[in-house]
Amino acid sequence: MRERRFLTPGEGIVLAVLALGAAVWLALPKRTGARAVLERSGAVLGRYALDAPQRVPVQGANGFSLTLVIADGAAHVEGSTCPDLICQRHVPISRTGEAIICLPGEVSVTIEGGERLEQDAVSG
Amino acid sequence: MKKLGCLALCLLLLAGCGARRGGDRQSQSATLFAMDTVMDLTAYGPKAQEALEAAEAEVDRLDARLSAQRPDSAVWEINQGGGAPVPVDGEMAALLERALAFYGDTGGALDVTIYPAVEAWGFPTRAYRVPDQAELAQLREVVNGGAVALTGDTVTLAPGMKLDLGAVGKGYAADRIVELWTELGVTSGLLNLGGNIHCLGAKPDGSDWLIGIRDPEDEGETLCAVAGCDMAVVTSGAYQRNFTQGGVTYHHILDPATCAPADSGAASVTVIGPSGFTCDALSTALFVMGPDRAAAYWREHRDFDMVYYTQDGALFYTSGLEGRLTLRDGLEGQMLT
Amino acid sequence: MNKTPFPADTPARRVALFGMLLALTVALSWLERLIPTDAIVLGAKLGLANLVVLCGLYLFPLPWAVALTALKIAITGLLFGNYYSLLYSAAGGALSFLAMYLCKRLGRTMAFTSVMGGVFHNIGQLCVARVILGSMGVLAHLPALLLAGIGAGAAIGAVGALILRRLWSSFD
Repeated sequence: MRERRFLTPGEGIVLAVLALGAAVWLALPKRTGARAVLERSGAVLGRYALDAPQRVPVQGANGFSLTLVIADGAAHVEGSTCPDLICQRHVPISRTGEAIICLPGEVSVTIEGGERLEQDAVSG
Repeated sequence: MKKLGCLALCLLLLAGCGARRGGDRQSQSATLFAMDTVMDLTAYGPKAQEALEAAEAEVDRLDARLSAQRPDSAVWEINQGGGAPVPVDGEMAALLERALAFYGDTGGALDVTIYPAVEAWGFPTRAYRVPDQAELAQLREVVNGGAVALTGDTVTLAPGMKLDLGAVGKGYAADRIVELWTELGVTSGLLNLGGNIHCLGAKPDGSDWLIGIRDPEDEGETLCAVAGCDMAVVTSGAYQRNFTQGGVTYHHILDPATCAPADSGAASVTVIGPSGFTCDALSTALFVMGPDRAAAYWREHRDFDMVYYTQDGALFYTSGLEGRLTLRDGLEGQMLT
Repeated sequence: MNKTPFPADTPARRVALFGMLLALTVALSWLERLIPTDAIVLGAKLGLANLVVLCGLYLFPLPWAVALTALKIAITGLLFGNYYSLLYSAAGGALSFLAMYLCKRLGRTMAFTSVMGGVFHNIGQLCVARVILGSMGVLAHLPALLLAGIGAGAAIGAVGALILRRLWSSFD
């Protein structure tokens, strides 16, 4: 019989470091976001304040459509016509950096921060 | 530990996916001082350096032509006419024609013959003074855009009249730069001509530009931000140039009807549209008109958008900005329809 | 590491085992669909069927293991998925298999190999999403997916080691 050991000590260290790194990254302070950024195929379609409940119909790529729903300070997806419905099953998101993705429709919804929007220039 | 190397490699590959999609994100920026203001120009793409050089040359050319102060500028020559016809080239004739059209269209709120009043208040030299009522009455005699006689290739001003293209010069310069950049094949760029913003195309990543509008009361703050591409965003505000004398603050936007600083209730007016010239001209004119006349003007034309902020702290914006305007937290805005 | 992975290897035994494992992937994929883990961590799955891929890697010579993986992706993709999920699993599966093969070649334990398989499966999928969506937003999922990959990979690896031990002892 071989493979008596489940993990060698070296492997254990590598995995522990990896897991710890990911956990620390995940646990980085995340603020409650202010806006949901709706993108299709990399182009921004719109920004929606999380404190303004609304339903945004989205025409995605490849003929798929879905509805972005802003409710209770969070964003989620409803009524997607895509085949796998991963986007629709995803829990509502509200913290900066969180994202819901509909791969078939090439649509992504990302939460961005409560700080001032990144402005390219100021007129005045 | 080889595994970690593998993982690092994969993460690099993942990051690499991002860089590749960006395509040519080369950008070049320049800051220059011209037309009595600071200009920031940014062009993206392989022709960026060439584009900047062309823009700088064009700005210098226009500054030398349009300045009312520089001796031997085209405008200065017209102002020296003393009642006689002065020959003008096609560019100047077209510029004046467009500016005079706005004079008629805005009921005289935009008047390129305002220069005698601007001089009397000391704005060009910064030797500020407050003209008395008699002087203002005299000034009103020579500030009259309707009296500019423009034929095909000459322009005639009555004695004492003087042109000032300050209200449209930067907007025109922005349009010219955009024209030159488009000819060069530049598809993305951002111009900030002393607060006159002009966006060429979309951002290099394909997304909209986001242009803030300054809070008149606080230089570091913005009232709101407008998203869009291929647009000019031009603001006229009482805060831009002013002086205080005897406890009263006098700003540089003069009402042609009174030849004194416009007291229309406006704190700042931002006009958004495809043409820098139009936005520049209208932001001044709508400021002079005041909120009610400005709203009426917009309803009549509807070929531009505006954000109007009054001295009472009320903000209204036109319906074309719906979905593109993000107001600062706590600020209420009213949409004009 | 033993060079002949499959004790008492005969063509008949090998084909039978191959078919059995392939059938098992279908059953496990179906089972997995009942557990909606992908609602919590976007697109993350337990990877129960990867158990079979892992065992295949240890039981068969490389070409057979590759064939098992490719067939598993194709069959489960056609049965339960669609074009997009197929694209996802193909990218994840290929990268995952490569990582596991390398680990095995380097003599790592089965559990470690399995964890690397899980981690790189998720990295492969994320790469596909990154390219298709062109949005940096997907990268926000990397830490969660790494953790999920480590957890699921360790669990699968433990079960895999147990299964192989039983299998080998039954052949001995």
